[in-house]
Parts: sequence; C-alpha cells; structure tokens
Amino acid sequence: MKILAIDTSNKPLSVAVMDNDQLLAQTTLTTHRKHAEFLMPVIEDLVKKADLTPTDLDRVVVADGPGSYTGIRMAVTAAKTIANTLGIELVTVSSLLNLALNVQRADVLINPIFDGRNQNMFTGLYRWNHGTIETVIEDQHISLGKWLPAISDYEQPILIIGDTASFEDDMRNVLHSRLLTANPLMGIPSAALLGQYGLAKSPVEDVDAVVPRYLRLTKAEADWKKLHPNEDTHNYVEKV
Amino acid sequence: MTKTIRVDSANQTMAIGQKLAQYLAPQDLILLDGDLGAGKTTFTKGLAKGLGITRPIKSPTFTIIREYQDGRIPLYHMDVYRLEEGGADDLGLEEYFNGDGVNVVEWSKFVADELPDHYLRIVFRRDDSEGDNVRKLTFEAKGDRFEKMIDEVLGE
Amino acid sequence: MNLVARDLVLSFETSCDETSVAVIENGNKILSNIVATQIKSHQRFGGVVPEVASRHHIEQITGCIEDALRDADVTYDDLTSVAVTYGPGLVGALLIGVTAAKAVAWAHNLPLVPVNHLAGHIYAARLVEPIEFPAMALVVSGGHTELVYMPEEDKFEIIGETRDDAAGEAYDKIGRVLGINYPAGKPVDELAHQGKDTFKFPRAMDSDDNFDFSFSGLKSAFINTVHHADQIHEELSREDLAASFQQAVVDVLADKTQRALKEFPVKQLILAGGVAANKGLRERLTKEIASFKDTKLELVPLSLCGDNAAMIGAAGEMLYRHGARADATLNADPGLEFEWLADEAK
Repeated sequence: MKILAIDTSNKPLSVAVMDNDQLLAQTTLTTHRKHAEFLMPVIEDLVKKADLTPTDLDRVVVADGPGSYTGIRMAVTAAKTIANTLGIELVTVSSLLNLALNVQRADVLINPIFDGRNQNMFTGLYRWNHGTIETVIEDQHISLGKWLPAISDYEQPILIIGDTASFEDDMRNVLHSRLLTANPLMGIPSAALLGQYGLAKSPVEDVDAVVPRYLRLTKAEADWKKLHPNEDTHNYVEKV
Repeated sequence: MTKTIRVDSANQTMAIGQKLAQYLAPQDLILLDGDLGAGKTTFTKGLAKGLGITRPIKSPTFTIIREYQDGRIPLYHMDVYRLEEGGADDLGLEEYFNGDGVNVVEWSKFVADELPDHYLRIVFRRDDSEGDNVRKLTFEAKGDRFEKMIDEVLGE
Repeated sequence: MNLVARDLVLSFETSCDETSVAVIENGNKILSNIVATQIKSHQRFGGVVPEVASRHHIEQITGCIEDALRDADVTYDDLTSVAVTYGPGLVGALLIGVTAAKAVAWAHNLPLVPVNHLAGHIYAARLVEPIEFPAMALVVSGGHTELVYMPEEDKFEIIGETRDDAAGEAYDKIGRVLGINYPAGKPVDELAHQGKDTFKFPRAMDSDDNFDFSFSGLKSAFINTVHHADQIHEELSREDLAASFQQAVVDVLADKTQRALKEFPVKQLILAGGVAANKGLRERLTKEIASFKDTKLELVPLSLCGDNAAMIGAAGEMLYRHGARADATLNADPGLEFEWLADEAK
C-alpha cells in the first residue's frame, strides 16, 4: 500500500511517502509557516522522488489537528481533496497523538502540548501499552490551571513534548521530579511515523465530511450559542 | 500617558495624521478605535499622505489588510473587525508587526491578544452637541517612543 | 461521435462566503455551477466572520467538486484545465479553493490557471453573450467598486475606483442603521422603490474630473441625518431614507460611467458584481446607455451576479488561451488588483 502522510499542524511541515511501513521519502521543514506555498510542491516533489505518480497512491494519512487553524486547514484540505479526487482512502490522526509517537517508551505518560496562548494549551495524555499507543486523557483546549490537577494524581512520570517552554516551570512546581522533558527534536512531528500509524487504522467512511479537529468553537459561534442555547446549528450552508 | 484634543473638521484630522507620519518608522503600530464615521479612515488618509503615498486609501473592511508600498516606508492598513482569536494566524499579523512598514489597525480589541507592548492608540469620538464635524481624539501612548511622539505632534 | 474538441474547465471560487465549483465548456457554456452559500450562517453575526467562512469552505469543498462533475456529466479525463480564484478576498477562504485546485491539478496532471476574482465577475457576461472589445465594465460589489477598461480580452485596466468604501459596503453599513441585517443590498433596494429621494444626500465627487467614486461622505451624511432625528425624537420615513441613499449611489455610479464612456468609447458596457443585481442601478444604466449609439449594455443575469465558479471558468478559459499558468506554489493574494491605467498617466 502506497501512503502519503501529511502534518502541517503548527510551524513545522512534515510530509512522507511510504510503501506500507517502509519510508520512501520524507521532508520536514521548520523554517517558515508558509504551508500554503510549500505543501503542494513538497508533495509533488516527494511522490516524484519516490518514483511514483499520484495515481499510484492508495491512502492519505493526515494529522487533522488540533493546531494552528490555518495549518490544519491546509493539511486537511490537501488530504481530503487528494483522497476524493483520486478515489483513495483517507485516515485522520490527532496531531497531538502524532507528536506522542515520537516518544517510543512505555515507562512514562506522554503529554504533547501545543501553545493555545494566554496560558491555554491544546493537549492530551497518551501511553504505550504492549506496543499500542493509547489515549489516557482526550485531546482538549484547556488552561494550564485546569490541566495540572487533571494529571497530578498519576504515579508514572509525565514527559512533556512540543510547545513546553511557557508551561514547564509551572508544571514542575506541581509535578516536581515526576515531570520529564525530552530532546526538543522530539517536539517536531514526523510524517513517517504518522504514515506508519495510519497504515493500521481504518479509513474514514465519508471523505467529504472530514473537517479539522479544531477543538474550539470560533468566538463568534461560542457567543452566539450562549444567546441561542437550543438552536440547531446544522444546515447553515445551502446549495443554491 | 493620554492626551485628548478637539478637532473641528476632517481636514484637521487629516493634518494630524500627516504630521504624525513624519515621526514613524518601520514596525510602529498605530491603533485606531471609535465610532463608525468618526474619522479613522480620514486620519489614515492623512497619515498615508505624510508617508508620501499617492494611491487612494480604501476601506480595508473587505480584505482585512491593504498594503501600500509606494511611500517612504510601506503602510499596512488593517480592519480586524470580526477577526477571531487565532484567526490572526491566517493573516500573519505577527509578521506584519515585525515587518518593514507602519501598521495601522482599526478595531484593535479584536486582536488584543496579538498586540505587542508598545503602540500608539487613538480613540475617535463624535461630539454631536458641538456640531457634526467636531471630534474628540484621545491619544494613548504605550512606550517612551510614542510618548515623545505625541508630545511633538500635539505640542506639550 | 463528437469530433469537435471540447474545452472543459473545472473552476473553483472560495474568496468570501460562497463555496463554488463549476464545469464550463468552451468558456461560455455552463455545464454545472454548484454554489454552497454561507449567508445564513454569517447572518447570525451581522456580517462575514472570516474564521467561520474558512470552516464552512473546508466542509463543502469536495462535495461541491463531486456535484459539479456529476451535474456536468464529465470525468477528470475530459477536463482541459483547472481554474481558481486566488484573489482578491479573504486569505483563509481563498486558501481552501487554491489548495483544493492545486491538489486536483496535480492529481490529474492538469494545467492550473490563476484567476482574478474581478476578472471572473466581468467574464460572467460571456456566459450570456460574447464580449466585444474594446469593452468597459462597472464592477460593483461588497468589496469593490471599479470601472475597468478592456482594450482586448486579456487586458484589464482600472480607470476609476472607489476612494474609500465599496458601494456594497455602504449598503451594508447604512442597512445596519436602518436595522436591516447583512446583506442589506436587496432589502434596501426594495425599500427604495417604495420611497422618494427627499433627503438629497450629497453626490460625492460628482463634479470632479476623474472616474473615481466615493461613498463614505454619503454614508456619514446618512448616519448624521438619522442620528439627529433620533435626538429630537423625530420619525423619518425608512422608505424615503432608502430611496434617497440609493438615488445618490446610482447617480454617482451612472454619472461616472457615462463620463468614462465618453472618454473611452467601447462596444460594450458590462455591469457586473453583487450590486449589479440592484434594480435601481440596472434601470438607470439601461436608460442612460440609450444616448451611446455604438455601445451595448450587458447586464450580467441576476443568477450570476453573486460569487460563483462559472464566472471563474469563463475567465479561466480565456486566460488559459493566453498562456496564464500557475504551479504548485500558487498562494492566495488577498489584495490582488488590476493594473492602474492612471498610474502611467500620473
């Protein structure tokens, strides 16, 4: 099975082309945020370098968020359009889980973090169990103040990766020696690991319905919902 | 530090913008807030003129950002009304703030989280009791550079 | 068997609050034109919220592609090119169409043609009748008010534009004062037809010797009038307010257009863009054009005035013939503009 894997959830861009779990080609860039300009050329280049054509692909695996809104939209738009237009499978994977895949050890709880500004974070808690990664706490958008009590009662050490800089000190004050940090390179997503993980997952049934995992309503929607608690929010888009 | 002045005409608002332009450097941030039709665009027109920009300054409402490159330094004019938290990513606001031009932002409360520490904020208020064209302009400087600037532009 | 080669463009438009995909044959025949409109969603907020718009586009995009191909009864193998709006517009919204179009072009090895949204609005006229050159277009919408001179089919030169607010933007802003939700164009138009121009608002720039428009003075005069009446608890006729506003807008648009036609004689005048659906404006231009014997007026049909991908396909086919191509690095350009003819003159 030929797989195209894409992660542009935050500043890094990572794309890989795989043949089952063999990596054929991978590019990872961390120098810019211009995913709109770089994503399709990188895909084009890697597929060519892997000696394939687009029609050889069987599956697209995409990290669908959380992350920067624009970043996850670029990856998901490219992925769902490629899957739809070529009539191939699409697998979606949490961007936080993809980051957790960088830590291949079973003796810790893995806590990937994306900065959500103002002491808020996009985060979740993961662990390896007999070679399979499991969710311990679901991905969410949460303030550091609420996240800390949620993770402070586990016995195992907690290893943080990702945008840890603005949270590390406060977390250490609570978790003390149970807080572990990692090589910063582990905070950069790998599309190869994403592709490998996506190989075993079942594809989505309805490609058209795939949207990014924002984990957060827009402010406009949130305010509106407060005023209209019982309104059905579907069918706001009409084909005319 | 804040200072409030009264202006009696659109021309006067424009003249203040034009004068301020002489003091501006790349990465300066000017926030314009206040009522609809209270002179924010007029002020920006004056500022653009002072920067030597000859193209007309059009409302940035539709595309959110308009760029003017033909002056002494570039002018980036933004209307961030309705812009969401996080939506600033789309626009690369940070890149503009750390870029090569002067940034003028209308409705800045919508991007309050994204703002750097130093800026000059001007609040425009209509004063209908005094006449159709009378406005109160309140200048609020954050940072020494802008404090000095308003002293020089408005006179001590 | 059909021996005549068919040129088929798959076109994308996502610059604001409509997700649209179309298939156009030979540049002038609509085989399909799917438009998923978000208006209802944004009405909750009184105007387009960019982040919400981007989120809706990504929900709709692949479904629209499928529908467009199915309705046109064509497959990817039949296509000649892919065309996409890359500006002007909201950057996050544009990026969905641009990314999807790039992905489709790459996947099926098709040439990608970048299209200016305003060229699309103008070329909507072609879907009704061939455009004859030289031509002039008055493009009026929520984000634009421009007079565009076209000496040839692929040359677009701005000879006049708004110096502040777009005409449609002025409608939405005064609509708010009248308690009319966005988009206010149609309700204000309807209200205006029940009233009279009693307020005689100023016609900005009407006497100046150029082809530029201005609507912010009119907007302020309108707001001041309502404001004053409120303060002395006087009730003004909403119909007359709307009629007076619309009359001032139409006067300025019509006068400037007439003046431009005198200086740039053309075979065709095209009225395009969302505000081109305005009845008052259509009636007025139809009347005025009578004095220009050699110029035909082309009113873009109501169904194609709003944003749609059919118009992008119509412009895309023409641009393709002239060699316009984009590669996979194509980015959205939210502030994209035509050339300014006046720049050289200055």
